[in-house]
Amino acid sequence: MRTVLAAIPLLVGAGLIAVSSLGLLRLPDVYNRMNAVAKAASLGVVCVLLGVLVLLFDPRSAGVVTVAVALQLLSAPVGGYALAVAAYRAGSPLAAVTRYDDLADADADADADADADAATPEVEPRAGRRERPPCGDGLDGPAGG
Amino acid sequence: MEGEAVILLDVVLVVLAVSMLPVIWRLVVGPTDADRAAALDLGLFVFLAAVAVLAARLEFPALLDLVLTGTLVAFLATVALARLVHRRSR
Repeated sequence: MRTVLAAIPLLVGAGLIAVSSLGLLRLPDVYNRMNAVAKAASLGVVCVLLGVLVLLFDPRSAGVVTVAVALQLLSAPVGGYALAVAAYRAGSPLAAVTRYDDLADADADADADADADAATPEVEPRAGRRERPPCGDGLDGPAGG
Repeated sequence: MEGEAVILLDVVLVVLAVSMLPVIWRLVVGPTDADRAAALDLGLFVFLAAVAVLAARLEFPALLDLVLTGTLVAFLATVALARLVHRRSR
């Protein structure tokens, strides 16, 4: 009975991690891959931890697993966001199917505000967004290192 | 640990091992440093899940402490790699 109860979160968690790994393999650009890692994999780790807790239940393990689950749910989105923003600032190519680039608009607005604050009205507005080559299947982007 | 639980945990371990392969592929192929950082992040998650499953498989609950510590280390490693990816760009 306990095994059946533990099988549900364990298999769900393993499936989520497998789907996340498949996403890391198949998704077209860095941001989509980061999405797969930060959401699906962290939820998968949480499900696996809960399944393990069902299998071997004692109070000390319950405390440790609770803290680990809370830490995972808090830290994984923060880490994924930090990594995605760093990748954007480093100029990683967007996928060809990308339709909205709000971060570029925000950067352009910030540049415009900075120019307005500098009180030089004859300066021409900066070209806000950098040139980003579209990367078709994610394999032919620029090598980064 | 009785028989069905052992089979269940072995199946989960095999699934985790298979999902480590795309991580290694993405670490080797790239194409950018951010891809490698994301792959390393997922690899740490898979490793943490595998350690948690081993804690049940070997009936050794002290391994869950390792999972707790590893969660912290994974977060700090991700943030440090994000700073590294950011700094490499200039």
